Amino acid sequence: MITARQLRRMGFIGGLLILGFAGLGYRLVELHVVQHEVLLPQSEANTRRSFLFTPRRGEIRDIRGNPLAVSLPAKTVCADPSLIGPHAEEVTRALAPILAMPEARLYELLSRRWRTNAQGQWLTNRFVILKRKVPLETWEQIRHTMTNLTFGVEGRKLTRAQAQFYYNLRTKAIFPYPVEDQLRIYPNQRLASHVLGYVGLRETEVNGQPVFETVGMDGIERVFDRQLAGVRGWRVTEKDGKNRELVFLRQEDVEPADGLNVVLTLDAQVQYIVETEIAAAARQHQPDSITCLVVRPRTGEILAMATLPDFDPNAPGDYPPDARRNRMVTDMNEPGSTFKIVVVAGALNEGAVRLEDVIFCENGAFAFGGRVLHDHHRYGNLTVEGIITKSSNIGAAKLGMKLGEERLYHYIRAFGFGERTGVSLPGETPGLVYAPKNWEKVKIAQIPMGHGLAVTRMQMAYAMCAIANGGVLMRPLLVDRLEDPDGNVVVKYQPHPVRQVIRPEAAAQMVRALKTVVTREGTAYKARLEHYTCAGKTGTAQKPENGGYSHDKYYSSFIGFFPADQPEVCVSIVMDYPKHGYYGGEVCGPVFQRIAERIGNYLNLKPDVEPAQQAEGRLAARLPGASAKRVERN
Amino acid sequence: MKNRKRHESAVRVGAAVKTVLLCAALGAAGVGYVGLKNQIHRLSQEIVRKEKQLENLRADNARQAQQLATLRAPPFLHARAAELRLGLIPPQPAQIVRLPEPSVPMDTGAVEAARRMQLAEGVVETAPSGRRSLH
Repeated sequence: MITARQLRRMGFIGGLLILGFAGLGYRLVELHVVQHEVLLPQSEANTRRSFLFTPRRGEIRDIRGNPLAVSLPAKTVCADPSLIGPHAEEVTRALAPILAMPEARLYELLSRRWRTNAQGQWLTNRFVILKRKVPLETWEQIRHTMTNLTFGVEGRKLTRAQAQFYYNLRTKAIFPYPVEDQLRIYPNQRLASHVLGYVGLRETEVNGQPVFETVGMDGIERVFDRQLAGVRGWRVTEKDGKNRELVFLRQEDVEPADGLNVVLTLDAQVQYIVETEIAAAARQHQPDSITCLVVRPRTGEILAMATLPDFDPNAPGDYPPDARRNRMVTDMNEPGSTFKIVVVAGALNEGAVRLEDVIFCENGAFAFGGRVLHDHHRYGNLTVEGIITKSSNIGAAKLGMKLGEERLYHYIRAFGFGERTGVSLPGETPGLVYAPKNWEKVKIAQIPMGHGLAVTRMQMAYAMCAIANGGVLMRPLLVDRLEDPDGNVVVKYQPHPVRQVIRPEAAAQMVRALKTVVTREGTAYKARLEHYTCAGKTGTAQKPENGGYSHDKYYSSFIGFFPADQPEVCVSIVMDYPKHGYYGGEVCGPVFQRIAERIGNYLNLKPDVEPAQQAEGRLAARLPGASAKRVERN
Repeated sequence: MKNRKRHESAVRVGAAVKTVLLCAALGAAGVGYVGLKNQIHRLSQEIVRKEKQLENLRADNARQAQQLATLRAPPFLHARAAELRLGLIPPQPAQIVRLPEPSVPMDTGAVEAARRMQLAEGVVETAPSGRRSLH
């Protein structure tokens, strides 16, 4: 029988239990319903983790698939100075050689710094970036070194707190940044550096997280940055108390889309030939700069583009800005005599003259518009072809006058001067071409000689290509296609004709005239080729200085193509202020010859000069006084 | 005399069996659930391991591709050829013998077969004289 006392006790305990459960129930409702909005993010922050995945930057390749720029996964190495405590010196000694950093700098980074916040509390730094773009092997070495550091203490004698401190120091004090980085490598070092460009870092913020992106800063890296970069991936997942991922609780998992590969029209071997030859020429003539462009005239494809001084895109910061500038497209200058092709082609196309027509060249001095124009020699009568052969300034000026201001201006613009060529490189300048209404009287005589306007070296080379290509001006083609990482073509770039500048018949006449430039009578005999017929034009322009023209500083150039009647390759060489020699035919002609012979051989172009002619040419070259009859007899 | 089996106080075997079976089923479900959870955990670890392996393989692949690119780079090849004194030079045009493109001999059998096909399709008609002419 239950007594009243027992009932009271039961009631009391029951009441306590009900009260307790009611309290718990209230707390549950408060946590899950009343404070839901506040507590949910906190709860998720404890378990939920989101990661960003960096896409692999696409490669840049040459036309034969040789990689010119590749990416390797890399780490950003960070440190927590609060975990290093008094051992900064030992850690510095161990890591400085691996990270290739000065010890003083590393020690400064690893040392604790104290500051106070607004509430006057003392705080220490817990995050510092030691080095970016550290290769994976180096990171593994760092981790191995840290794990094996003893710090002069014996594990058995440590208290629990000390053991925990050294464990954290060895495993957590040096750590990689959670977002993967990548290292851009240019395996050919300086080869085609101005075309490829280089990359740099840009800090952005993604979901409140600072992220350092690799971005193209110049060249193809910059122009095709969006295609090369790819699309970032991400993962939202949960972790357990030991910071291990609970894979089955992954909520979002998006793979990064790697960047596209950019396949250039450049051929690494042709580029190498060009760079070795212009380096040799630079040693010989000591110019301020030298550029070379190799183009297929029929398609406008660029096979090689080189500029000296150059730089190593693996370490662009080690070079001055001057060395990183692609002078081929960023610089403009007065072209000199190479520009005569424009006026002569225009005059032939208009039917104003024929190649056989004779022009009186004033015996070397021609007063016009208050100025006196000069030739290098005292030429009397010259045919139009002879004006090209001898590069007569007065003859070209008279042809310009015959053509008239408006028509001359029309052909200057039609050949692409005064506008950008559209090459896929940053910083291209359109040059400087004034309209005839702004011309002084003497301009009609100056411009045909290549003075009184400014053009880029690329524009000049493509004007020559237009003549080689039957009068059709092509747009420069530097990128052949874009490929996905599996090698599937995503975009294919086709050759793009800009316009028919002159009739094919006029172009053929120009080729005939330009072929004479590399004969004994021409200005570039040293540019003639042993196995191919070639055509071209020399240029020697005085550099502007102190409001006038310098008498010892020149732009020397030669632009030629071969085989002359079926042009496969056009080569342009320009030297800025060569110190030893200055005539275009003298300093640039031999460079053209060496480059053209090597490229023709490499591209397996069929020689169009008969072996007998070759032997004759060689013998004639060795015996300058030997007559043709003697050569035949031999 | 009443059957003892039908006595109210007798053990109900059927119910007991049902209870045991139910408990066994519940127990098995529990064990199965734990087993499945265990398997999920194990596979999760496997996925993480494989992902890490894939990442390493990709990194290795990228590293080897970079090494290959370096070894194939023209500056490196030329320097190596010079260093080993192999005496390698490209063949000169005069050293290359170019054979003329052979003219394709006419396959009379194939021509006749094509003509017969055209005849069947009415593209070629036979002239009254027996000679054939094209439309």
